[in-house]
Amino acid sequence: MTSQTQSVRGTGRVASGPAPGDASAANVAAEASARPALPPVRRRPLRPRLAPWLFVGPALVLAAGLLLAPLVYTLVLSFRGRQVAGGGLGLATEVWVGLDNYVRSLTDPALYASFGRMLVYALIAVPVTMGLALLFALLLDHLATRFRRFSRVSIFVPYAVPGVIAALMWGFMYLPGVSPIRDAFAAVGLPEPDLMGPVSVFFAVANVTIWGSVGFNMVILYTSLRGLPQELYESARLDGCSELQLALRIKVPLIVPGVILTGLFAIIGALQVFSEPNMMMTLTNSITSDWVPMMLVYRDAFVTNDLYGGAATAMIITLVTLVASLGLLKVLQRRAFGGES
Amino acid sequence: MNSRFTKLGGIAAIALAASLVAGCAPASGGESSSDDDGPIVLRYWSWAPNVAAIVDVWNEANPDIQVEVNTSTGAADIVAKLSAAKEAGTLPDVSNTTYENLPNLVVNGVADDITDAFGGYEDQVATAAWDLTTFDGVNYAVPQGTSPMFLFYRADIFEELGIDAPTTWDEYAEAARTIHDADESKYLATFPANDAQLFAALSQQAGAEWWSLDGESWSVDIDGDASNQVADYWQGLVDEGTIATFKTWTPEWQAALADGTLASWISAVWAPPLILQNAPDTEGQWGAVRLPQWNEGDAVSGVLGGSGTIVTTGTKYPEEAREFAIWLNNSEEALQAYIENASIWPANLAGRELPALRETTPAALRESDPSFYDLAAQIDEETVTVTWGPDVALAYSAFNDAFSTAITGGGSFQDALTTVQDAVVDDMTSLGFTVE
Amino acid sequence: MSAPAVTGRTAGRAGVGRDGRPTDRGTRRGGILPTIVLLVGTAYALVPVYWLVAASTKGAGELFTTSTLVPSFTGGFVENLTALLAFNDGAFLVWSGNSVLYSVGGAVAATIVSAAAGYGLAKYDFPGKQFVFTFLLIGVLIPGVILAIPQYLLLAKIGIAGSYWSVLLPCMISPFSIYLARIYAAAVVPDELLEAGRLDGASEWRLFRSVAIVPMVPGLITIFLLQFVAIWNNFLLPFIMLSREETFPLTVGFYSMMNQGTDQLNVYNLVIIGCLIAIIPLILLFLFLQRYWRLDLVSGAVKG
Repeated sequence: MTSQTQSVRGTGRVASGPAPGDASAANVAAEASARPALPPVRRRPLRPRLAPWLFVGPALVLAAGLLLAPLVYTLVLSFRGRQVAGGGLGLATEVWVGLDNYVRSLTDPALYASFGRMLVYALIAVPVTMGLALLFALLLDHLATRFRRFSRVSIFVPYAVPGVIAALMWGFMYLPGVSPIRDAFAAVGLPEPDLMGPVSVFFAVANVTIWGSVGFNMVILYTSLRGLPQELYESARLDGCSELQLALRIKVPLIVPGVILTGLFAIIGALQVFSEPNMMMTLTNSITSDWVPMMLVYRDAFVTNDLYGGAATAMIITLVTLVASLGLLKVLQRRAFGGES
Repeated sequence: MNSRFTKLGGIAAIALAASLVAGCAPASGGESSSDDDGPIVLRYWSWAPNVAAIVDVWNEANPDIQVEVNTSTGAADIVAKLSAAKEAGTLPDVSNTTYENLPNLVVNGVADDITDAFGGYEDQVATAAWDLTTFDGVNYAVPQGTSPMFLFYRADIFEELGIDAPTTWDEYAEAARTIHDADESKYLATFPANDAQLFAALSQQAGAEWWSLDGESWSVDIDGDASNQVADYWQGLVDEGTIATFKTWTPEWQAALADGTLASWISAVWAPPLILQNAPDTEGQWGAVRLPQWNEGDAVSGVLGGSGTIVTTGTKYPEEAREFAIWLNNSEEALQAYIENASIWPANLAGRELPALRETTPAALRESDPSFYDLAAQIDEETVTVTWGPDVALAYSAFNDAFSTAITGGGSFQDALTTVQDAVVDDMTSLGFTVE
Repeated sequence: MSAPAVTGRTAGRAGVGRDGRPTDRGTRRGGILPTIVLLVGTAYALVPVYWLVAASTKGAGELFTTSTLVPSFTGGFVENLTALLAFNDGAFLVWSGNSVLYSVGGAVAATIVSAAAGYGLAKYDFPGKQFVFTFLLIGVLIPGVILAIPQYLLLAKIGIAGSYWSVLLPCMISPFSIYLARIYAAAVVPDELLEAGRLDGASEWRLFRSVAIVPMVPGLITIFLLQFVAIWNNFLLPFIMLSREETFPLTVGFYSMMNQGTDQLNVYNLVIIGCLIAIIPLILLFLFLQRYWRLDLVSGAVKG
């Protein structure tokens, strides 16, 4: 077990059945490597062989048909291309082009630039989202704070707004001429800020996702906080611990695994960012059609009609995303969860 | 309030659940289906406003050939949707397309040869429109209309500042300065990085031919002298700050048209109803004149949009589909319905003479002499002929990116054009076209 | 930290008995700043929603000429609502119905599939189990943008692209839901009961129904809600799959309204009021189902 969860259990939180820590992705992933070391504890008298497959079957069939097959299809497409027969307006036919699409994609500076912008965006969106979510969760858990129920529901509300609509709404609020934010600046005599300038646009896009996801993460962390044993707080308070110290020294460390896991999902979300900048592209010169990797794929496959080039780019991005996510998972598993032994 | 919403939702859900069960029975991806006895159903994609009203006229007259119109896909997305549908085998029977995208649809095998049915209509259709839909003597679309370009301007603002409608680009630049000097928050116009179509049209006016086809080999000349002249002109105004740079079709732009931040708009014959809806307070305040010219006394215009109707290679009913496509754009009933329901300048020559068209002035505009549609007829005559290449969508997308970057980063418009040129030539070469 | 905490605990216990409610007094005093910070957060969340309400009261032409934070009382709201309901012969109601259909249908199916798979993965040992789980987990990491287009092409090949099923089917598989179901099943379904049931000769299916499902219900409701919102908010998949307006959900419907090419009249007023109406059911869903949201599931903290 991890040191972190052990300390939780040591202070009296004995979960029935598997420990809470078992639930984290890292530990689930670690299970496999751990298994051979375990001695065969018990024999099952009636060990079902077929049953597990029946339970897992529908999911496997759907995953094979709707996740794996499309990925393989994309792979096939990425090796193909169109070729025109005649010179003028001859009919195009599909041909095998080998690695051409990959070469084109990998030699396109736009690909690397899009990854760079995605990173900048993620570096803003993920820490701010998690920081605010944690802050609000701690405030909600702080007994003296007023309007907690109202705030909890209100901050959660943006989660109900589709990304496309949120981007449009915020877009309205950023745009000169219709922006209430700029009006507010003007009203108090300040210069009107350019909310979608070349630099500020990163914050503008990040803000849309932050706005939409803070509440969701906040509720997750708040629920985790509520699950902590209250006796801990009482004793700490009596020990002279201020509420701030209590939050920083006791509450936060105890929910770190939860913060990290939700943070991981936030990172995965950031890697896949698409709807918000794609919608806001129509509003501003600061976002181009190759702004982030997903927009690049979408543009190739759906705007400029190069399904095959788009497929190659998609495969490259999928690979990068997978490697990055799995690598992150491994690192977190070792660092944050204290490793296996 | 609550219970009403739940009820509405509930009813809709039940209705849809029923239609889901019914709709999935044939397990065919929404293809036009017909039983032996039932009418033929043609699926038609269009983005034109109120096109359903026009289709209704057909459906009433042709109980055996019913047309089901779908207006959900915008002009910007329709090529991608059609290409995907081609790949998937779910093409509609008939679709609208802009002239720019027609060569792409021909190369991708979406637009079918309709010469058998339409070849005889040459003398009934405006030459410019005919040329845009006919390649190597083969008809690939029935032209619907052309889009004579206009400079729409706020006559009231111009009068107040004592300026006349510009007839040359020099006067246009002067007007821009006058307006911006009088009030720093106001502009004559915006230079929109997202409107490649507009820039293409302005370049054509200056003499550019972005694509040309000589036998089997293409020339691409997006960053040639004429286009560069246009680029330099607008860069000058943008650098001076006398012209705004926000995109068109955004709330910002719409607000600017409505509140007089923008005093003019270079657009085409279909613009007045849009202006009116956007800015009802400006009713009757707009003037419409031909584009400013590079040389005093010239009368040249470019091509801004325009669209036609294709019969797709996926149709099971080519005869009926062609009949409908031709009727839609050439019959008096259809054109009459168009004039009532939408704002077009028909490609059909007889349609242009319909009194319903000639005798009206769109409500956004002041009465003028010559009248709006008489002027449209004149401008149409002055419009250059244009050849569109097979990858206009790519060129436009590259244009948007390159010009957006140039505007936000202070780059040169000429370099942006070169970026577009390179992207287009690369793409065409890799597709196997011969490019000089 | 841990050593002083232990001593603190003993000292603290005595403290409570002596001077009554020291904690209460301490926390009351410290409540103002946290309340202010929390209210700032609340304002951040609600201002755009307020903007939506204010903007929906603007009649045609007012949207771009009057301040967007001050609602109008010129009858714009009713005017917009009427126009929205009349748009394209009531398309808005059809889209709303579709959104409900996709979200409820897809979320119910995904929950059932995930419950079974999560239970199977949590409670059985079988060869290839880890491979199956890793395979499903990787599914979480593949971006929807990349999947949507090949999914479309594949579904078209079997003839269902453009139908309701083309949206419903991909919504039924949610690797993330399976992952959550597995965590939850592992935590709440007691092995002893399963073993006992087996000894009594109960079938595996019966064990699943009678022993596993009941304790899993709170987790399954959470999975249902997460998936419901994900489908309700999804844009790209239906946008790519569907071409007939009658099958659109709200997100695609709004997009198509705003994006009908250059010669279409703009419909921002209608889209704005439509968005407002579209988020109302979701807000209600949160309010009424608040206590069923077991979101601690996502952070891995599950109590039996």
